[in-house]
Amino acid sequence: MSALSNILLVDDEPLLLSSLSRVLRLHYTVFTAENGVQALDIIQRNKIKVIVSDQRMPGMLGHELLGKVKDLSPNTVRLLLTGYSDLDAILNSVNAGQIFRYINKPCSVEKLREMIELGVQIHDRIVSMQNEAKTETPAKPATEVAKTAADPPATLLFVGYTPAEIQKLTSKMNVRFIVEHATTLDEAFAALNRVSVSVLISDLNFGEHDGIDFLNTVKKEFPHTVTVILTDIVDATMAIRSINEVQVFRYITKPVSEDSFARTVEEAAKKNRTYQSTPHQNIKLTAETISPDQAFQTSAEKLRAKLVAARIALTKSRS
Amino acid sequence: MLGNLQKYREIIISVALFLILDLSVLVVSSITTGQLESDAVAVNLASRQRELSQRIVKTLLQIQIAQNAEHSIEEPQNELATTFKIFDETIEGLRDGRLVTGGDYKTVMLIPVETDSAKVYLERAFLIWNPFKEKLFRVIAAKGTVPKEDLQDAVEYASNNNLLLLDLMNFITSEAEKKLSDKSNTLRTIQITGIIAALINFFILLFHFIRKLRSQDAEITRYSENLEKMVDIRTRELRTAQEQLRATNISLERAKYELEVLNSQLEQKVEERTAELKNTQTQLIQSEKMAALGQMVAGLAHEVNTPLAFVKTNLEGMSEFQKEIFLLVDESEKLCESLKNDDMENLDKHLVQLAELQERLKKANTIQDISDMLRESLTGMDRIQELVMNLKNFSRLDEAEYKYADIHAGIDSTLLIANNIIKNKARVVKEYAPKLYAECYPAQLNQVFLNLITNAAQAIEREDGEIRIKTSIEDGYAVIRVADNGKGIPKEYLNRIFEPFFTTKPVGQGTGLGLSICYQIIEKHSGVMQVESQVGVGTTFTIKIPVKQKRDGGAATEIVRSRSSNLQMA
Repeated sequence: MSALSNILLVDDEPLLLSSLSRVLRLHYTVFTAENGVQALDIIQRNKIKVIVSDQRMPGMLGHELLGKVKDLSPNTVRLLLTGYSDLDAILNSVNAGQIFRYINKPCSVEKLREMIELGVQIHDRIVSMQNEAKTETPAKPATEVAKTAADPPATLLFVGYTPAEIQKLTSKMNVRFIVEHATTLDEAFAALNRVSVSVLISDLNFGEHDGIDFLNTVKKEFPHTVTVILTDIVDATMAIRSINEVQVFRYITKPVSEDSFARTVEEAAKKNRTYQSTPHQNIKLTAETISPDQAFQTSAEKLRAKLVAARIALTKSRS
Repeated sequence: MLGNLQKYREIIISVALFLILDLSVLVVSSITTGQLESDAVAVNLASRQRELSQRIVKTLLQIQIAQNAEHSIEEPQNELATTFKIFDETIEGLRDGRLVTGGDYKTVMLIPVETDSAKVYLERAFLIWNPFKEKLFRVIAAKGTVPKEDLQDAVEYASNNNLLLLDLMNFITSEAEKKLSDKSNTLRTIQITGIIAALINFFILLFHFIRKLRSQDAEITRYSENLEKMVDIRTRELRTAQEQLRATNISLERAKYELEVLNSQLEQKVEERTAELKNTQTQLIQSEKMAALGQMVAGLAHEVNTPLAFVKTNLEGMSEFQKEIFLLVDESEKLCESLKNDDMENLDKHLVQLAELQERLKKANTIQDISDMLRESLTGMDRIQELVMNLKNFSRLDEAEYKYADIHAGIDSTLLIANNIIKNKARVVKEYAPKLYAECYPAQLNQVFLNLITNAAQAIEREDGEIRIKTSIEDGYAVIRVADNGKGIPKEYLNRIFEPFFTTKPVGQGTGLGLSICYQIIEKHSGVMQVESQVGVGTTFTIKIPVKQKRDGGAATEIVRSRSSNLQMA
């Protein structure tokens, strides 16, 4: 019998830890911690594949802990449990924590097991691909690939903003970008088919169509395109979905300073180059190769049809 | 005075003139009259001389006759003597002026004649008289009988000269009459002149006065005309003013009416606005309540969620374990069946399976787990129950609104409600008095406690956050102090924090009504609420409420009333 995978549960409620560990310990080696400090200590001494942390804890908050875990153990897949829909905490964790999933408390044991299992598999896949990458091209780390000067300028696609707005947003950018923009989803799909988009900057408000569905459709077809949401919709559910369904890179609420927006876009472009050179870093892509239906379910069939139609139209016009 | 004198000068001059004229006429005429009397006497006596001369002649003749007839001559002799005497003194009077016997034998003053011709006549008369006088004197002096020659001589002289003497006497009388007439003419002239002068003066005066009066009249007329004109003008002005006034009055009336209309509109508007405002206030208070409630509910949801989460996990785990247990039970039943039926073949098989199952359960520690799960789940349920109890205690919905309540219980239940806000921020230190009860609205006081405790927790930015709750009884007041070691309140905000709508939080994160509502709740309890703060050190809120409310007129009703006004004030 192979050794069970190590997982870490963090919650300030010992009774929750004990109940969870009882239902999980048949399948995993369960570590528990009652606060962030303990959790970090365990992470440093054990190879933890998946960490499940509560958000609200005395001392260190969940997303802070996961941010630190990301630095200490980048391959550990990070899940955040939230019982209390604290909007600021969620947005913070989206933008800083680089977490894989939000799990609402209370969560059924079955669902939790699924998530943990998926996390374990993603972890294993990434690790194995890293190992392969190391043996094949040991001399060229991903970061250096990203920095190659010969790379053509990255393409930005803005969806749902006025030209004036885009003008203002791009005014402080130091790096050169090709800027595309679309006001409707059809225009957006056409643009995506026409050129290779590195960073997609999108609003969420598209009338009859769900913004998250749109992004998900794009992500399915163009997995390396990095998504940045810039919107005035401040909504916890949307934020959670943007992580769980799209694995959004940043969720920014308006208004935003041009400086910080420029920095975000530059980081996103870098991320895009990373994905292209080392696809296993793309956690969403990895997840979908493991369990496509289960990992990122979407109801965006209509949107997918639009995308396909746009592609056909493009092919026709080219031929 | 001087003006008056000036005014009367003319009349004074006129009167003086008049008086002088009249007086002079009077003096002149009285003098002249005196002279006229004398002159009349002279005329009279001169004319008497003619008669006297006649009588002398007659008596001489009578004496002659008597003597001839030898009668007594005594009587005519006496008459001659008297007549002679009077004639003599009169003629002397006419020449020299002297007292003489008048017509009625009274003595009168005779003045001498003045005119030259009269004096001549008188000289001639003396020439005749003086020889006549001697002849007559001998007649008169003769005793018994007059010598004939003497008598003859006298009669002859008389008959020769008597006529001449008479004529002379006539002349003198005429002279005297002429003089008298002259004088009386002069007097008349003077009198007439005086009267005419007086009349002229009078007329001048009259004319002058008339003229003056007329000019005065004219002036008065002019003045009165002027006056009338002015009165007219003033009247017109007055009328205009009156009309203007009337117009003004009308416009005022209209304005007043409009004002009244506006006023009523305003009142209506004020009422509407007041209603709106009240509505807004109610909404604000409602939204403040909802915000507080939302915060509380969210906190509570988290508090309930945690035990719920592990109870659910336990139940799910147990339902998984239950399958194993059921398998065990099933296998046991089958074993019993085999035993009962003496089915040895199956008995062995079931025994083995049962043993396997037992081994598995033992290995997985399932039995122990189940009992732990049950125990822990019950603990979780207890916690949920406790929370619900506290919620009930906090809201006090099932209790009397106003009662003598345990303040500590209120604070404790509030702390539990607020636990999820506090627990990540601070530890709570309680310094309670042994016992603290007060007459109050417990639910409302809890609202105040929740507000203060929440504020305290939110103010804390440091790792070793601490909320110190201290209670005591001071002079019949229940005193509750909530102190934090948070960031503190800047001085400029300190006296404003109880103002409605004052907030330092960003728009949308608090209505700024929390503390003002607290303040009112405490006021309503006849209590006071104070704040002390130092930036960077911390803030202390102090609440003091009377342990027993005053009973005059019923404090409870007072509180109830102020409670309804609470909405308006907030």
